Amino acid sequence: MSVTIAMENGPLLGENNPLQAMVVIRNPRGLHMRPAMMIARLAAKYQCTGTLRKQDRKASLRSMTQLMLLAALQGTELELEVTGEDAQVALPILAKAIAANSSEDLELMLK
Amino acid sequence: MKNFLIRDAIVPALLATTKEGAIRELVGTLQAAGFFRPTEVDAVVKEILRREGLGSTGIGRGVAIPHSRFEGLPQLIGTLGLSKTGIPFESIDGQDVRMVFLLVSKPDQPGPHLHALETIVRISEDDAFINQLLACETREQIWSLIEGTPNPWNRA
Repeated sequence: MSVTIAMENGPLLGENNPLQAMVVIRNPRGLHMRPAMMIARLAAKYQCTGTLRKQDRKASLRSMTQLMLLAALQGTELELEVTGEDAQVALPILAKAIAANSSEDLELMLK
Repeated sequence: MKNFLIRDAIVPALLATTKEGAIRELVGTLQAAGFFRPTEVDAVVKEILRREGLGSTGIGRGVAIPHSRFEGLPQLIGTLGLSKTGIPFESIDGQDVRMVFLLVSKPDQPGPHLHALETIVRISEDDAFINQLLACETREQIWSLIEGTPNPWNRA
């Protein structure tokens, strides 16, 4: 019974606990400056904060330069993690943006 | 950085005071170093300016990385120009640019381009390096500083 109460009154999933997804870079040019800029701009539209991790390197989703430091080529598998009240809404959108085939596709998502 | 920066094309004190002027000056030094034909300069400048039009490559902290792709190069090439006065570049932090790293890559080689961007972002976050770079007065001083930087190509 106490478990049920805790679930009902507890935080929504993703509010305090991070949500995660694996994302593969599909852009043939990799995660270069333009997609990094657009991902950072998209991430800034959400309340939640996020990181993208490539092995031992971790970048804030809102930082173009940190995303560029990942130097993620096409085919690179990255761990996306978002935390915050709108994390559940943001996670699939951010994952789709990171996995976009081109800057043009990403640009459409920002409109 | 010595893997992609062309020593003879480095400009210790840019004459240009505008974004377009700096890009034109640096493409000119790459041409003079033998990487483009004189007739190709305009096309390269135009392509770099087109890319700038999609969003400034001023990454903040006084650093900009204007770039484009160009067919026919043997490999990714780049040059560096320092500005004593600062150049308006519509950078993400609004600061004028004092270090312009201009890159021209081979269209089919995204790896070297990503690593060059990574290298430049990394040094731009290094206060000691930036201060040393901005204190350089000659091409030789700049080159000896660059020769001492670690090369991320060697990283696992």
